[in-house]
Amino acid sequence: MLVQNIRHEVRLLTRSYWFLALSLIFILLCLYAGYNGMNLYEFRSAELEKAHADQQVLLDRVYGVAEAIENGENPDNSYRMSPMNMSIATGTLASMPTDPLSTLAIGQSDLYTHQIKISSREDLATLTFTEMSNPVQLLFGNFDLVFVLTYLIPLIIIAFTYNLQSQELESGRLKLLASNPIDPRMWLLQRYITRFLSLCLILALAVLFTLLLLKVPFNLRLAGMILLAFGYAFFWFAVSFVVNVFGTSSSRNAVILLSLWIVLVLIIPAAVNQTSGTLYPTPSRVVLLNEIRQTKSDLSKEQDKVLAEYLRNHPELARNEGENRFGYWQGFFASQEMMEQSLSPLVEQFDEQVREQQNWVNTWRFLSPAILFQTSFIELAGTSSRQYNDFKQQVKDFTIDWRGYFMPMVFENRMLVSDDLETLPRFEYAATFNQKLTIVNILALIVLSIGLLFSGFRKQNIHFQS
Amino acid sequence: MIFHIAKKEIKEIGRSSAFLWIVAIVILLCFTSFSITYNNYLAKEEQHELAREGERERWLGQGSKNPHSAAHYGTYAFKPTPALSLIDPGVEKYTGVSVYLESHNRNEAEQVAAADQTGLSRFGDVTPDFILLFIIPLIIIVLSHQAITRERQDDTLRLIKMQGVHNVQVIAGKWLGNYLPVVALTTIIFLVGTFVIAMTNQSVDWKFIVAMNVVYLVYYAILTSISIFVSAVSKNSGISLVTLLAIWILSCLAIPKIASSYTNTVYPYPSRQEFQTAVAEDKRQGVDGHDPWSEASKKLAEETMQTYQVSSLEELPFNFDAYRMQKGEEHEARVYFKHYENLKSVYKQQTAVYQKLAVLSPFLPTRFLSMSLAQTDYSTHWNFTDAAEKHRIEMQRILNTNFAENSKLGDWGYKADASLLAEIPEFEFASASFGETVQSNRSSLLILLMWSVASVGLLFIASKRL
Repeated sequence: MLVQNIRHEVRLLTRSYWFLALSLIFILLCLYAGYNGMNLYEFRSAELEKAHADQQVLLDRVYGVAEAIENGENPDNSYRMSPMNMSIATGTLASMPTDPLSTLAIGQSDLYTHQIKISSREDLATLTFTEMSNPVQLLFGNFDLVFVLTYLIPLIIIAFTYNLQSQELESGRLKLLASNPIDPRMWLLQRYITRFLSLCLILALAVLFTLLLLKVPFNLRLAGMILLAFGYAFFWFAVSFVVNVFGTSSSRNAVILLSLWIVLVLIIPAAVNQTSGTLYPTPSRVVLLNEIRQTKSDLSKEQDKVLAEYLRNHPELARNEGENRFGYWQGFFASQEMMEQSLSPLVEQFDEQVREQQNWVNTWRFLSPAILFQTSFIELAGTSSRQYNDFKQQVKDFTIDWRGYFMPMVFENRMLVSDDLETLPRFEYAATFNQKLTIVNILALIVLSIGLLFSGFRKQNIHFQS
Repeated sequence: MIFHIAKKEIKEIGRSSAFLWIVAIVILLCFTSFSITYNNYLAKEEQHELAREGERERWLGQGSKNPHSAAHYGTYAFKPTPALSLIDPGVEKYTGVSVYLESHNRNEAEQVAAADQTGLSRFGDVTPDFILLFIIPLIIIVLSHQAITRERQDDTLRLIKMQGVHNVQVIAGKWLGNYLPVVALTTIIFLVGTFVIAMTNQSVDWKFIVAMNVVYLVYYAILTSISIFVSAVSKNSGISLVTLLAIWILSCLAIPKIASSYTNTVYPYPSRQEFQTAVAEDKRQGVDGHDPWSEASKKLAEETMQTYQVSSLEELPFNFDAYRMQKGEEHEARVYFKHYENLKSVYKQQTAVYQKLAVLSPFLPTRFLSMSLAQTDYSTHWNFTDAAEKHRIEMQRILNTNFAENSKLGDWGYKADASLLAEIPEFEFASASFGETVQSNRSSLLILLMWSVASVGLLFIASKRL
């Protein structure tokens, strides 16, 4: 029975031009999506390389000056060895390396920058992390693999399974089947499993061809992404199975399944996003801007007091001997630190609201398989909001280290020497992946699917009359 | 006869519980989304007003000050939030809302709201434009997909034709019957929108809202025609529904994303880092107000002395330091103009691609027209940043001229009277008039018109297929 059923199903599929054509279209769409991801990845990598090369030119100029000074010369541009020139004009580059897996999910990588110039002059609260891009592109989003999988996989599954039982019922073959000693539910399940495995094969081929095109190295994260895609497909097969078991006519099944697609893939994610922003609204950043300007204005009126207060907090820097050539900058850094301290509760409010929004999304993500699938897929690709926020935080922490490195020189009124250049702080991005989220989401997709299959299977009778 | 058929169609739709449910859900969504966007709007307006007032107060409160110090202190230009953003927020959350106006630099608009949201924000928000652009088209599909197929399946089409009704009349009646309920629903949404906009007490040119309503009605007329056509040529309601949903996904989701990815590949924006490096490089080639030792500055000094027939800079009838500062500003403004014009040409090339691809989907011209009429499109953002730059250049000119005319070379201690600060007007941004908006959207209007004509053609073909 099982073998016959599978053979029959495979024969049906291989003879269906619709199935073959749609499978081919699906593979081509995956390849096109991968091609788009690859274009952006290559563009980003080239930009990053260029930014590093530009930064190296600036740094080499300073090394040249240091060497000349060491050789006893007095070059015109010896000012490049001043701690202020080094920490502001030369600065350094903090970058987030492009991840080959980002070719599969562009995620937030089109919104955020991957490289940022670090300068002691910048205020932490006003550092810009967004990339230059056409906002219309951000509004529409990209045609990448995660879009194809999230939106199109369910539709292909619906197209090939919405009438698996009802068609038999409408053509009268179900009665014929029921007259044989077989369990109709088992028969239907076997049909589903065969179709599921066929689609998994197509999906595997599509992913394989895309990976070969992109030359993405295989690793555990990629395995997780593939598993997620299969889990997501499994969920939609389970939904279709239940609708077929409980449904009546083919057109009714199609309407129900498409309505579910609209609700689960379109409405719920938008509604969860909307509620997160409504319940935990982030005030306009203009409020922060206003506070920064006001605090700066207040501090500038009491510059001397600010410096005195700063030195009281940093006695190790209070060695103001000889000519005070960096006097202005001493006051500047003192103000900057005090401003950041006084604004930190307000800045924290913004970060806290975004964290609360994320918690809300994490809590309600189980309402939609599209959220479960997409959030994990993007996280594994290294292009999630969480990862970009992490990059932001690492950059901010590094900026403090960068300033701190030059601070003693500013207060000692001394220029940099060759040895100082060897010990300059360097930014290294530490990538993090929320593995727990992925495991929980995969499990949730599988558990939800099994639960649906089970509830469909528990239904005692299948309708034999339309 | 057309009206009889339309009346019967409307009666049937009105009796369908599914339609009543849909109307109830849409109206509930409409009220919820308007209520959320209205509260957000008020909060944002209040915050922006506070920041605007605070900024002006701080600017004027600097008192007697060196004009160039005041120029460095700078001020902010805030982008006003248009009242029609309550209906269509367009690209607002992806563009900055404030521009820092300071000497020597043209800064990018800052405070991108999307950066303060979770990754789920890319799924979209349940805003009125989401209902108008995505949900109502789905309602049209649900209502009209079986307009003809049902008559054919029930064999009532034959009955209608036996009455001597011409095919064109059947199609026109069906079209009208399915279109009028959508017109009623759209009118409700726009009436609510108009009421909410009126509550903001902002002066609004009502031509914009009327035009926006008309654009959406034309869009829905096209979609109704496509639905009736598909229903007329489909074998049954199931096929009609699946075909229409495939068209919906293609035109509302896939084509905009393909357009985005394609434009980004063919005409990419440079990265922020690359853009800034290129600007800095060009700036170095000319006068730097703060660098009297550069070749360009020395040349300027020579030329100025020759023009005024003096042998030293001290003999000039104005402060050459301030004059050099202004010449530096002019050079920098030219550099920024060149680079932003390059960026704008990329943007124009991208827009041209979007317009070409709009031929493939009536969603695209509607989306662009809607944003444009709401003054939340990218073009309005460009106008804002250009106006801010113009204001910045004028501000520098006034401050540097005062400095040059009222002090002598090397007189960095010069302080202008506090009244000088009031001579710098507060930044005002006037968005495009209705005529200008229509003018700049000729292409989208033309494409929408072409779609309208084509949809009438489809109806004609449909009448031949009955």
